[in-house]
Amino acid sequence: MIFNSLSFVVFLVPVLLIYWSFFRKNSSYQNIILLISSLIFYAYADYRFLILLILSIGINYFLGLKIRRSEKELIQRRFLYLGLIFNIGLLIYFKYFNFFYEGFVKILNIFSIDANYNTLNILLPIGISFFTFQTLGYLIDVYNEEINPSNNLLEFSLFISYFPKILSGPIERAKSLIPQIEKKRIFSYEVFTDGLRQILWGLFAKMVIAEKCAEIVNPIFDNYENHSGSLLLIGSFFYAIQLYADFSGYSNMAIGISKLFGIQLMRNFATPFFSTNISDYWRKWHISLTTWMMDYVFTPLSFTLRSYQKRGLVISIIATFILVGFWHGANWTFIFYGLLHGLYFIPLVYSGKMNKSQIVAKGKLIPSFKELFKMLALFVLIMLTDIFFRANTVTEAFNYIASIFSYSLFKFPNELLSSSYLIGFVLLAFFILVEWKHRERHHDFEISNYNIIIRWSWYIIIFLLILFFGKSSETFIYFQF
Amino acid sequence: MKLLLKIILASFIGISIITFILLKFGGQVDSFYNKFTTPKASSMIIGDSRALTGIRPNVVNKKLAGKGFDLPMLNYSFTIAQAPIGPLYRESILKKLKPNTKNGLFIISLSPLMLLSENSHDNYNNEFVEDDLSPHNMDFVDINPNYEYLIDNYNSFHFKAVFRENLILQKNGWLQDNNLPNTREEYEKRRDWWINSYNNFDKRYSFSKYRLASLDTLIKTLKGYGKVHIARLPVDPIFLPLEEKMCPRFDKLVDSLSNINNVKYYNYKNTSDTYKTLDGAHLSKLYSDKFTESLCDSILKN
Repeated sequence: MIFNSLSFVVFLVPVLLIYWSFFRKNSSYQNIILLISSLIFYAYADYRFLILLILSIGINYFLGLKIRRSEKELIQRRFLYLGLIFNIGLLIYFKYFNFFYEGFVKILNIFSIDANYNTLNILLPIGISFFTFQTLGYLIDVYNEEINPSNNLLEFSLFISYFPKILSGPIERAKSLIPQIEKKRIFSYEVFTDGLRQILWGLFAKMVIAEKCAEIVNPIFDNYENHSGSLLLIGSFFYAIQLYADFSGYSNMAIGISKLFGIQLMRNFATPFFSTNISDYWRKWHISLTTWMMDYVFTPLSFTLRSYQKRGLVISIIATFILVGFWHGANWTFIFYGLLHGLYFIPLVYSGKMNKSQIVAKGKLIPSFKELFKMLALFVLIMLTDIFFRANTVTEAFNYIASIFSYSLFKFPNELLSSSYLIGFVLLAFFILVEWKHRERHHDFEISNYNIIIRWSWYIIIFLLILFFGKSSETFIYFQF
Repeated sequence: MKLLLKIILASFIGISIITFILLKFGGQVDSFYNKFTTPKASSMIIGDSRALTGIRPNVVNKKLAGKGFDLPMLNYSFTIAQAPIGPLYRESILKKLKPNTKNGLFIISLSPLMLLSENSHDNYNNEFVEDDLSPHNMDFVDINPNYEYLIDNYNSFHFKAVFRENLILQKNGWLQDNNLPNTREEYEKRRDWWINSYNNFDKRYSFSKYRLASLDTLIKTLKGYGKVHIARLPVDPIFLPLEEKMCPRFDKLVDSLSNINNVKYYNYKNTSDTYKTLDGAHLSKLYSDKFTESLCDSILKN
């Protein structure tokens, strides 16, 4: 049941009606209906792993309480380690087992030890990377005494399984979400309508932009050996936009749906392509994952390596980004993707510009030439790196890049003149302009301050664009993670 | 209350826009939608995409007017994916058929592909490849506008087609394909695409005795409502050995079935020089009227 499907509307509308009518008396009633809905939603996506989700909830709830109630620090640490082993173990078994197993056998073969392997046919539980990171963060926060453990199983269960974010995030933090769950939600017209707006923009990004890009990208990547360098470059351009529109569209829908229930999820994208350096880009791209990695991996690691000064910082960044890449999947392509992004930070670390974050052309209509140049240069770097994200193997990615930088790079691709590409570019221009205009706002389609005629004109334009150019696919790129 | 009113207003605007498009451009935005917006019919053309583009109801109406048939004719053909012969298609035909029809005319356009079944499906166990597709996923086949079709088949709609007229499904069910090949090369490219599709088909599909028996049931059922005629439409000769391979002795099987049921079988498979196709498999709109006239002449002779 994906957000842009009729079955989801049929699911959502009754839940909303029940939630804001019969169950609005107190937070427990509200949480009961949300939890039941969330479990149904997850079971609909993949009922076979509902038991796994419930098991994860139960064990992490129990461990959270045990960590806090143990008086000795040693015992607390043991319970934390138990939690880490359980959660990371789940991830390793379901997501990385075959990867490590294959690697291990290949190493044995290098040392002339004859070993054969048959990979296990392990199904990946949907959303496991997202809810496991949430439980890991929760246990570490409890151990570090940053939050109190939840002593309400209903609230804790909802924190983990809350349906708008269970499949693909945002990866929520206990200190932000649990307090909202504990309180009774009161209906707010402004929040509700803002949620609807965000859903509309998410639908547009996914159904129009991401799908249009996919239509152009797939034939190019699937048959890249037979295309000119210029077309491959265009393919990588559209893929970078597709990846962003697909995931940011999903995130906008998730956050918007949650607002309909009066619960604010964290922002996951903040117009990342309007960044002038890689550090700024990562502050705006998949924010819930990067802040998680920052808090639980980078900060402790850089603290440990502080005596190595800038070298220690570089090592911490690279290690963190390799992990960010690896989080996406058990493939060397993702590790390379993370490694490259980590390496891009080195000039910033040594020039001392890593912490400079700003909204590009703040308060201005257009950026300066320098800002524009920096944004474009960064975008080219990112789109070339995204090739690793899309390719099946590292070799394939290198071949693709090598094919771009060939003599055929200067050949005009005739495909550009086709109506499909022209429509694609026009739609993209519209998408980018709207995002640029709202880059200083809370989300990409925050137009509550416009007058009613302009607002409604926007709604009708977006609706018509979805109707005329929208496609409904059965999945999102980030569902596989 | 304010929110509720705004949601109702927004929904009203959205539904109005969609309804306008369906009413005004229904034949352009989807290749089958119009078939489910017209009243029930007494006479029908039944078949796959060859009949969909090849047999024109307006020509039949003109040629056979006053000959004792309950006209007008409706083209209730679909694509090969939707319309293999079987109980699902028969049920849909009966839904679209006026129940009190006595003098109907039913032209069944048959191609060997319509008697194939996917290898993994057990037809005798009610497993059919066409199960989830229109018209089998619909209860209402004669309402205008038809929101059921829109909801169940949303992914087949191309709303941007309001701006172009490549494919237009007429209200009588005939699909007017304006996308004609400009050169011999273009024609061959399209034909090669179909040959490739046939070869892929051959790997996954095989002749189904169940579908042949269903054809017999369909003929017998329709004879209760009027006259039945069977036709095989022209195709590029390059397809004939492929079709023979997929469904051996097809003509003999249909011949014997038509003899048993005392209905006529008109075999036009070798007439593609006279009636030209746009891609090897589908009659060009420039020849479909001439072909339909010839078919009507054959019907009148019998």
